[in-house]
Amino acid sequence: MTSIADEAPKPIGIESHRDYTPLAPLLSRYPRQAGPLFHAYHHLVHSAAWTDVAPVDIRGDDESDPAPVNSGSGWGALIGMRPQGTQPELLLPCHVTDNLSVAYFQAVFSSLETQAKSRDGLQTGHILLAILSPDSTVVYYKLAKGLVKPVN
Amino acid sequence: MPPRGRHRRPPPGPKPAGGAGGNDITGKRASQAKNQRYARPLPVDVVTPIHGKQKAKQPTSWAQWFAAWLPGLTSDAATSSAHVKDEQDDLLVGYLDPTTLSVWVQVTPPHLLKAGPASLESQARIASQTRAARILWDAGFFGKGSLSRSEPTWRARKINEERVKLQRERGMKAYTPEELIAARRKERLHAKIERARLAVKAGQQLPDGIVALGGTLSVEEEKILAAKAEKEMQEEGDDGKEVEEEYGKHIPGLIYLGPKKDDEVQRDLTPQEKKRLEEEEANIEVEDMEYLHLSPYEVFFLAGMLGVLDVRTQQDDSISLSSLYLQLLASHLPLPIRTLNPSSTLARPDNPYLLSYIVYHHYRSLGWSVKSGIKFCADFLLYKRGPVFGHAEFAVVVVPVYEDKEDEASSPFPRHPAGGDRDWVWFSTMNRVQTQVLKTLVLAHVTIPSVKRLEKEGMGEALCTPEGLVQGLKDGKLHSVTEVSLRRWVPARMRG
Repeated sequence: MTSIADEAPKPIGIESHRDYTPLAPLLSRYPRQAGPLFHAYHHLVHSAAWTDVAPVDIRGDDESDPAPVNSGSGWGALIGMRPQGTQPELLLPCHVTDNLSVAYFQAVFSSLETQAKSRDGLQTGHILLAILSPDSTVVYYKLAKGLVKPVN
Repeated sequence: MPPRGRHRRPPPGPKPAGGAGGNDITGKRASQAKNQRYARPLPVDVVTPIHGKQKAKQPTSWAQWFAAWLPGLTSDAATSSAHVKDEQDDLLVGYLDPTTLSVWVQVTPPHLLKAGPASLESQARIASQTRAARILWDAGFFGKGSLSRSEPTWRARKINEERVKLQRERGMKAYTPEELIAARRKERLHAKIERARLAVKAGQQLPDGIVALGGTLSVEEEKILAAKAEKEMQEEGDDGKEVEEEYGKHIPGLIYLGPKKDDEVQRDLTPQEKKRLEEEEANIEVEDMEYLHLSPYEVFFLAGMLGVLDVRTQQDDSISLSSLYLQLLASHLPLPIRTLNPSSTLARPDNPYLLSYIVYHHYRSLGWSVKSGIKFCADFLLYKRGPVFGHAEFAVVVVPVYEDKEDEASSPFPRHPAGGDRDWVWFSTMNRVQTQVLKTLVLAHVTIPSVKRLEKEGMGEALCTPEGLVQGLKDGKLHSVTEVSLRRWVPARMRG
């Protein structure tokens, strides 16, 4: 019995996936961050049920890049609303092997203020860091500016 | 033994709407089904050359196994090779994604959209998944569904969600497993907050516990907090009672709050309505967004070592093993500059991909099922049989050790997070998560051979080809792995 499963396979990859179209400009601008960006978007939209996920470039006005050479970090981020959330949040994807400096995060938080002016209700007190592992697992960490007492 | 009434088991709640009605295999039959499904530890078959036929067949009895082994001991290597491919063992096809250097395997055949009739779980799975995805997961737990925690089940979950919606429209009470889990968590949280309130009233606990769980403090509780703080300040000099001693004491009158009973009566469907419902459920259309993701280590193991995976480009051309190997050696670099570095720089013994791959290969060859350890702040997790059979007992962290210190100084690669001299604070940090989840931390020390020694022994080019790598490892001239396992020991608690 020839089952449907015996058909010839067709190529699949990031560029032929549905999620590539909205992300294409950001992926080409920050190639180091392309993997984490795609996988974080892919996971948020289809699995974590986030709404209104949009890619955004958060590079500041000055051209200095505090991220060190070997780091995979970039300035691509995602802004979206989590399922039971009330305000949109910023999500910064990166690799598990990245070396991210304090200066980088300071620059991210300052550009977050700029973003909040054009986007209503964007949370500026914290960002989410999406870390990509080689097996496609994405783990999320909440990074707040300063000391915050943990509440469940 | 907890006192009676303290932890009463709650009455059984609503059952989740899984697959079809009546296919709930539980208990002994479920574990038998599991053992049958995951019988093969690797996606290769042992060839049984009895009766002169070279057909690869799964030996089903001890007599066949014995007959398969015996010729292997006496005959020559050609006939007893365990990797003979025949027409049933066609190569599994996957497509290389250059961005992450992983291989993507299609889970659902592209044209299959409709859910189909709800049938027994195993038949539905075989009909709706590609052969490659099934074999890779069932024989060795290779890969991970890109939208799932382990096995690619995204489409099945989405179809189930749609089914539950259809059933709810007809007034039936149906829940997805995810909704049930969320509801149970909410109930447990409320129960914990109520228990904390009762404990505060009994004077056994600080009100901090209520706030930490997300509850709110009433005026009374705040007064208690202030009084306790004053008392502690006065008793500062004395040896105050440890808070830990009071934790776990039986609080009289405290009951476990179970889930509320649902008072609605469910209306039964007529046979016509049932048939309509089944038809609608069979016509649910969901396009699969998921794929099976093979990590770079799994790719090299399957394609290079076992030879069961055919890695193709996005243009459907097969990639040669040597080209794949060189791309993997450059995996730590971003895509645009990967081809700029010559292989002489990349093929150094301290290449970060090589170090992690050697540890992966080491444990796979010993029979462990090796998965990613990022959720437990480690490099790899070791499962005795596989993720479906139980939790991982070991978390592995790769620690590079240089044979020659000069190589470390001249290394073009970014500094390894576990390299160099480490102090006890680092040990403590590494072990923190593992202590909480009762896993043993294994530090896999990879000894990196000295570049000078390799050149002297004529092995300077050994790492440029996968064959050279394998031969060098077999001869023992390249890397070696030594493990040190760690468990936190607290003298006060672990006496005897």
